[in-house]
Amino acid sequence: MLLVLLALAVRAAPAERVLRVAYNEDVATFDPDDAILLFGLDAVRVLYEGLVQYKPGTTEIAGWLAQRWSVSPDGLTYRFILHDGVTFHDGRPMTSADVLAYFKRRRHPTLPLSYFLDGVDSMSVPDPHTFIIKLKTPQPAFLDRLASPWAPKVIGPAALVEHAGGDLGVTWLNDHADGTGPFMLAEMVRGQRYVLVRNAHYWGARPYFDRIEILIVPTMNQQMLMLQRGELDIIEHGYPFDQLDKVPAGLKVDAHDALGLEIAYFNRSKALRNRAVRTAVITAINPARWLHEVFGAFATPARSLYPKAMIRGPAPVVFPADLEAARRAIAAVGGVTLEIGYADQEAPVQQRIAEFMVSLLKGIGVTATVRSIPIDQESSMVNDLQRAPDIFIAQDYPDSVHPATQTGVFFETGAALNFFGYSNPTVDALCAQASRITSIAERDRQYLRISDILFADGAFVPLADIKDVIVYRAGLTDLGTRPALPWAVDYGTIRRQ
Amino acid sequence: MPGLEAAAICMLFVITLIAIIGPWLAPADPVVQIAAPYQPPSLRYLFGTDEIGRDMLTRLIYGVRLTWLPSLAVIAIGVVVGTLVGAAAAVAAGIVDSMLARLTELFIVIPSTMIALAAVAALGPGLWHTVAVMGVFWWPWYARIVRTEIKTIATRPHAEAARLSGVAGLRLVLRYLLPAALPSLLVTATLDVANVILVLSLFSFLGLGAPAPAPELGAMTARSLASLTTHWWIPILPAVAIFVLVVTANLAGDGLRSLMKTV
Repeated sequence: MLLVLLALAVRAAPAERVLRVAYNEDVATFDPDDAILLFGLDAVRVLYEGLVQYKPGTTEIAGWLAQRWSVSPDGLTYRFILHDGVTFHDGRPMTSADVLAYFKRRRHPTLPLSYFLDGVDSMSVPDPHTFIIKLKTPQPAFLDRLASPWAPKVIGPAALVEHAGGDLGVTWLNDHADGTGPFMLAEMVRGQRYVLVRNAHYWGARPYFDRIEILIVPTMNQQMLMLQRGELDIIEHGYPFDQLDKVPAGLKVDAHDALGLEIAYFNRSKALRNRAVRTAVITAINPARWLHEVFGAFATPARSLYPKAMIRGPAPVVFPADLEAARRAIAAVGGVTLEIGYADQEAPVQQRIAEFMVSLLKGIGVTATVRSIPIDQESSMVNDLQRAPDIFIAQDYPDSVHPATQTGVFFETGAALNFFGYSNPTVDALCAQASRITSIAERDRQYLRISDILFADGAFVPLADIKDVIVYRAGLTDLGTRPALPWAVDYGTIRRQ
Repeated sequence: MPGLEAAAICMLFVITLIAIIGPWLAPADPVVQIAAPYQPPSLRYLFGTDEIGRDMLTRLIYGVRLTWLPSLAVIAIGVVVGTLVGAAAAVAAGIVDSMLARLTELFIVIPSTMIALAAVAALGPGLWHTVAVMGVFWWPWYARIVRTEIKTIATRPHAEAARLSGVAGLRLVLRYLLPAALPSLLVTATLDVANVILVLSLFSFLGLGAPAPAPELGAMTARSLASLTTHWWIPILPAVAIFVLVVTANLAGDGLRSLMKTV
C-alpha cells in the first residue's frame, strides 16, 4: 500500500521544467552595473529589473518596474510610478527609497556603466511609489538609455547595505544576486555552469520554466552536438551562418533584426593616412562582394552607420566601384601592406570576413594579414595607433535604439569605443545638435548626415546589418527576443508547447 | 635498408623540392578566392576549396613550404649551436667542459616547449619568432651527442696519430674529430624533423605562427575545425599533410641510420 501511495505521489509531482542554454564564454559577473559584456545579459535581465524596457520584437518602450511615467514639458523631469507588491529575492518589499539607493550606486564613477546616468542633476522620492529623476539638460535619448540591456536595474539592500563592503557590493555581487526578477541565482560554478531557479514570490507573470541551467561550452562544435543530442535547448549565439540552411530535424531557427552592425574602423595614422589609398581599400572591401558568402540570407548591406533597427536609411550605402582606379591608386604609392584586426569575441565569422577582405585587397595590389584583437585590448588600441591594426572589423552593439547611443559610443571625439581616436569637430557639433532633437524624422535625417560625413572621411565603413540568429529545439515558443537585446531570449516568457 | 625507408628518404627530397619550388608549382594564389567556398574535391579542384573559396591544393603546397623549411631551419640552428657547444666542451675539458655540460643538462630538463610558447607569445606571434625561439631550445641534444662522440673519437688511434704529428686546435676538431660525429648527428637531426614539425604545427594551431591567412598546416586545421562534420576536407587534409611529413621524416631517419650502419 505504501509503495502504491509513493508511486502515485511521484506520478502526481510535476516534473521540473528545465531550460538548458550555453555560453561560449564565461561571465565575469551578473552585477547589472558591472556586466559590460554581451554574454549574460539574458540572465541579468531575469535576475534584476529596470524601470522600463523594450517590448518583445519591437523598439517601443514599455513599463517594467515602473507601471507608468511622465516627462515634464521642458524634458528635464522624469516621474516614474512604481508597481505595487514588488519584492526582492530575499522577500523584502521594494520601495522608491530602494530604487533611489540603487540609482545612487549606479552613478558611482568607479562602475563602468555609470555613464548611463551622466547628465542627471538630482533624484528624489516624494512617496514610496514615486521616483523622480531631474536632468541638467533635456536628453531625448534618456528613456532609451533606461530601456537598454545595460540600463540600471535595481539591486536590493542585501547587496547595497548588508554586503556593500568597501566596494559598493561589487565583490559580493560577483557571486550573488539580489534583484526583483522572476529568477534567482541558485548556483554559480565559475567556468562551468550557472543555475537560475524560479522566484516563487515574483510579483509579475509566472515564468514557464522552473530552472535555467547555463553551461559554459567554449566550442561551437560541442554546443551543436549537445543541441542535437538534446543536452541543450538553445544556442543563443554563434551557430555557424553557413550551416543554418541545414539544421538537423527537430531544431528551429529564429532570425530577427538586431542592433548588430558590422563596421570597418580605419586607423588613419599609418598606411590609410592617404585618402586615395583609403578610397581604394573601400572600393575593394565592398560588402556586396562577400556578404552572401559569409552570412547567406542573414545579413543585408548596411544602409548607414546605424543598424536598420535604429534608423532605416533610404538605401544601401554606395561604395566606389572602379577597381581599376583602386589598383592605380595603390600602384601609385608603390604598394600597400595592411593589417586587419578583428574582434576576437566573434572570431569565426569575423576572421572569415577579414580573410575575404585579404583576398579582395590582393586584387588591387594590397598585401594584408589578419589578427584577432582580444576584447580587453579593443579599447586600448587608441593608445598606440602605430602598433594597432590598420583596419578593425567588428559587429558592435550600441547601448540602445537611440542613435545618440551609437555616435556617443563609437564616433564622437573621445568616445569609449572610438577605436582609432577619430576626431572631427563638425561631427561632434552635429551630434550634439542631433541629440537634442525630439522629432524622430528630423533627428534621423541629421544622424544620417553624420553617417555620410564619417563614411566620406574614410574613418568608419558601414558593412552589414546582421540578424541575431537563435537555434532552438522545436516546441519552444515565446522567445521574447528584442532588436536591442543581443544574443538573448527572455527566460521570463519562453515556454515549451 | 627496407624499401619503405628508402622510399621515405626519396620522399624527403621530394618534399624539400616541393617546399622550395612551391610558389611555381601551385596552381593559384594561396590567399585569393578562386571559386565558391566549400567546393568538395573534384577534377577541377583536386583538394576542393576552403571556407573563403581558396584552392586547398595551393594552400597545402604553401603549407608544406611553411612547415618544412622552418623545421629544417630550426634543426639547422640546433645542429650549429649544439655542435659549437658540444665541440667546445669536449675540446676544452676541465671546468669549461663541466660548465657547458651543466648548461646543456639545464636546457634538457626545462620544459622547453612551454617556455618557447611563452616566449613567442611575449615576442608576438610570427613564424620567424617561432623559429628563432625554438632554435634556442633545440640544441642541447646535439651538444651532448657531439661532446660524447668527440671525446670517444679523440682516444682512437687516428686522432692520436694526428695529434702526434702536430695537428691541434681547430684543425684537429674540424678535420679529425667532428667528421666522425657527423653520422650520429645526421641521423638524430633527421629523426628530429618530425618532432619539430609537430611542435611548429602546435604553435601554428595555437595561433603563434605566421599571421593569418598564411597557409600553415596547423593553423589551417585549427581554424576550420567547425567544418569537420560538414566540409571534412578543409580540416582533414592539412592534418593528413602533417601526418605524412612526420611519418616521412621518421622513416627517413630510420633509413639513414640503417644506411650509416651498413656503411
